[in-house]
Amino acid sequence: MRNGATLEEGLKSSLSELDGVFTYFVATKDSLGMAKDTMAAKPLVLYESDNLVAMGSEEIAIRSILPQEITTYDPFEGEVKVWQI
Amino acid sequence: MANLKTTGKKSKAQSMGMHTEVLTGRTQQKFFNPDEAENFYYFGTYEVDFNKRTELDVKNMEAPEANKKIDSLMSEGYGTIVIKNPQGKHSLGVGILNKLNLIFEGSLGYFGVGSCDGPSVRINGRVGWSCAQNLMAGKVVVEKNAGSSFGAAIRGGDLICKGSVGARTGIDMKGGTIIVGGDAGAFTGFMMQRGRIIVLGDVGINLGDSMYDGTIFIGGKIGSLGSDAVTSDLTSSDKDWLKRKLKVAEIDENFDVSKMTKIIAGKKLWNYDNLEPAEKKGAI
Repeated sequence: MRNGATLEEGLKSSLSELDGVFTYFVATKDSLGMAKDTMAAKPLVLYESDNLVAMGSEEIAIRSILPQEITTYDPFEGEVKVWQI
Repeated sequence: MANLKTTGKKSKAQSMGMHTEVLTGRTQQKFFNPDEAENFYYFGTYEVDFNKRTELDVKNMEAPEANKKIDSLMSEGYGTIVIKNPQGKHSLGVGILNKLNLIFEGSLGYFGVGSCDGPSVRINGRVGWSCAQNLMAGKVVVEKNAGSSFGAAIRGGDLICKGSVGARTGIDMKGGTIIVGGDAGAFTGFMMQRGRIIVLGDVGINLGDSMYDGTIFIGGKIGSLGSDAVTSDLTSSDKDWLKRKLKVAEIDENFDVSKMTKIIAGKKLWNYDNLEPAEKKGAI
């Protein structure tokens, strides 16, 4: 990214450049992104709505701020997502 | 059963008076008395009435407390229990060895309804990792999505997710059926040993990796086949079974099963023939 790559490009290249299993998210001043390795060995639960994105390693973390019934999902292996803030 | 007291023909030894004892042993024909069945006890089971219904709000309960309460309600004869506000808690509804209608009004966290034998469970929400692992019998229906290791090591029963599931669905499964209405992640059917998996949508990479046996049916695209997983021809009995199963599972019974891809084990990884003679030799 220091050389001009976008956050999405950086996250995608990390899938092959990082060693081991991982799921992580990262925020910049104007965007939020997540990446999950190709083995999908680390959990991530994701909730998206028009004005809110919530992520956690388990559902109960999201329920602490959204107790009402919502639809969440696990991103698949090798998945990258970026949201503009 | 021969009458041991009145043996007709005497042997030479008996004629010589060498056997004077009278055999009066009890017959061994009757091994089981059905009248005594009521004395048998299967731990953790109760007589329940499905028409006897109650609700349990677990909002302010920890999982062990909630599970003990479910057990207590079954002991009171409740056959239909509705769980309110599960809110993603882990390990809810585990270890139920009973016929029971269990309904969760919300989502579960990790290890939901694990190690169960017999209940019919409906989850009106999502489930986290390892839902219904080690299921022995019964039916579990998830209305939304599921996390990874869905149905890990199940031995029997039907496990249904109407949405999409994560990676390693049916890992190490030894029986039963897993049905997914949406997509499934990588390593679906990893090391499965028996049973069947149906995925109507797409699956990720390494499908059926290192499977020993069992069958996987895929309706969509396959990321890649895993080690020793091979495609096979779909038979007419496969199609009939798939139609019946999708109907029972309440998932898209109009789905065109004739276009599904069937995956089985190539059995090149089998080492039983090499190992068993050595084990037999050791035993002898």
